[in-house]
Amino acid sequence: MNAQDKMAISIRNAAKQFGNFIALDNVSLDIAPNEFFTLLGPSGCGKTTLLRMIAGFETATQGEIFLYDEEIEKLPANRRSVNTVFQQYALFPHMTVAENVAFGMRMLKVPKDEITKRTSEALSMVQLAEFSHRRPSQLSGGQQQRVALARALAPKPKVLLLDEPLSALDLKLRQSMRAELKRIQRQTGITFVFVTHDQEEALTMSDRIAVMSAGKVQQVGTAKDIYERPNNIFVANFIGETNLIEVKIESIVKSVANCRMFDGSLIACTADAIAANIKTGKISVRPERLKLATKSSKGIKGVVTQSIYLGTDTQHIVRLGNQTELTIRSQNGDGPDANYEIGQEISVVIDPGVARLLTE
Amino acid sequence: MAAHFNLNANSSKPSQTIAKDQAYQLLPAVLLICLFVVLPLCLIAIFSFLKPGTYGGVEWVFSAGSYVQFLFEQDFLTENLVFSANYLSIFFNSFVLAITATVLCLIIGFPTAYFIATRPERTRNIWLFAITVPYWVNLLIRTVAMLFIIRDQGPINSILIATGLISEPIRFAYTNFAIGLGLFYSYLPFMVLPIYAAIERLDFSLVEAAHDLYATRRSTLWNIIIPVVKPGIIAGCLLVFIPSLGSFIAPDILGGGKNLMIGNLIALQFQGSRNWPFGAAVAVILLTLVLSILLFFAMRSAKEARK
Ligand SMILES: Nc1ncnc2c1ncn2[C@@H]1O[C@H](COP(=O)(O)OP(=O)(O)OP(=O)(O)O)[C@@H](O)[C@H]1O
Ligand SMILES: [Mg+2]
Repeated sequence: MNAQDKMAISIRNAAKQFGNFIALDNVSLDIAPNEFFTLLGPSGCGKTTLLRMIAGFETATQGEIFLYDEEIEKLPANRRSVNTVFQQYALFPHMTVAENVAFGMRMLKVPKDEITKRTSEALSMVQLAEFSHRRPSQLSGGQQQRVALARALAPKPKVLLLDEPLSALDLKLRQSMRAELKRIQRQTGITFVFVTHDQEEALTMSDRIAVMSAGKVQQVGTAKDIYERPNNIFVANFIGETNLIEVKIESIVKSVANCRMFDGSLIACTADAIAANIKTGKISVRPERLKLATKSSKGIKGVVTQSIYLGTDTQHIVRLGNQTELTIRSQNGDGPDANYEIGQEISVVIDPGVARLLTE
Repeated sequence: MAAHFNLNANSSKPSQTIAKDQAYQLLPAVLLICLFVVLPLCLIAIFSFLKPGTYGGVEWVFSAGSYVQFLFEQDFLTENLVFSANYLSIFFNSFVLAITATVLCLIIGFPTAYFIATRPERTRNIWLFAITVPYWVNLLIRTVAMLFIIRDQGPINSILIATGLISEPIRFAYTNFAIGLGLFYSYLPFMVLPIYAAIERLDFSLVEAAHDLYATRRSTLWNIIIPVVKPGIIAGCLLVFIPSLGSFIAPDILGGGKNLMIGNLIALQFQGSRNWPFGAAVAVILLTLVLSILLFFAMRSAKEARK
């Protein structure tokens, strides 16, 4: 991304307080045009608050929000070219589906025949053309959801905000809607800002993800970035599963850290964002990156406490000498079965480069 | 018709059948209604087709004379029936006053209801309480008090004269204006409460959605809030309009007995003029008109629901 390119949304040092409670703490984000951008984080971390600030339903306590370089923080919601798909849909109950979809364009004083044309386009995009004369109460949850989507898309906003739009749907529907949302985003070229607390949803749909926690943005990056190169322990734990082992930092040279484990052995791990004066940390290794070997092999010694067959994988839990428990997942293949019994003493092998040094 | 008085805009349809054991629960209410509503109504309908007794009461002889009297006058000399708009004009005047009171109540009541419904939950009840406090005082006393306030020597005129704005008192009392004001004041809570109930149930994310879709505050009010709370508005209007139409205390006291309304006309027949059949006939005509209005709204909203 070129710094000269106009960002679709640019948030500068935004903060939001409710009374004494800090809901958002100095958030800065850049969202590029045509991007499928996801805000991911646990419940209560401020995702909805941030989205509502972009939409204009909530004023920032401080900071600025830009929409294509135009400062919009002071603009009322109805003058921001941003539309929202509400979690509970918020469809107008006294209007038909078509009237709901046409509403935004009507308010923008789009000519009548163009409203008709774009309404039917939007409805066929979400495959609801034949329902245009129904009332929202005569639709299923999934259909209402798609009306909400069509209604927000029809005025062609510069940015579409979606607050957990799939959370009220059942699993099957949710999965098919993911693909559909992705298709619609590509088809329309509209920037999507998508809120979810479901990491699978975030990883499968997004171009980039902002991981949030306690009102702060912890990390922004592609799904691969945040999974493979988490910035801190929160992100490593929140995205996927990970093993954390306490270590002492011996030296850091060019983002490679030499760390001493509790058993005295040295391990080299990647370290991007560690301050030089920090002496202890944790290394993070994903379960599928750890390997098990017989007791005599080189590695950290431990005892198998659990062995679970998971179909494609087998998962072992190993207790190390310092009582840390590690989860190790190995693929079941054609080769010799990597099956270790409970109580068996083994070695856990961490290959060079798979461990990542992190701090809180 | 029940649907119109149902203040809940989103209520689901009531089930079509009533189980047997539920019928027993209804029995006391049904008996009471038969005894004190249906029976008197039947009596009134019958009375309206009888001849008046000389000293009040009725003579049990069939006659449509009361209905004829409503529209025609007997010429003293020729004994021919001549069309007379006297009573029609009382009806017309009553409708104008009742509609004025309803519109006034709506204009004042809607913002009030909106204001209360958007207060934090804790303070809402205090506001509602404040609205109803004046109504703990008897209607007659409140109406007389109003007369004292607006009469020529009352505080309003006194203040206006004292400040030099006017030299002669403005004639408020004993006018149609005074009656309209009295009706408005008597029935305002009947407008506020159903509208409040509807707005309180309004899902405010609809308002946000409208703003999000480029609606100004004004167009959100017209396009979203008013249509969604319409059942409450209709209920409030009916609850003000119907009793206003038949009201007789306000016109009696504030109108000084000069500006009759239907209620006074009926009351007069049973008290002073002692023409019970005519009073009954006027009551039947009023009832028919009110029922037609209700039926009109019932059919319209049934049509809308079917859409
Ligand atoms: N109007 C408000 N007044 C006070 N506190 C609020 C208000 N709105 C939100 N909060 C607080 O701000 C924090 C962030 O809320 P927000 O709704 O943004 O969370 P979220 O990340 O969307 O969570 P979820 O995934 O559960 O929807 C919460 O702790 C919440 O209690
Ligand atoms: Mg939320």
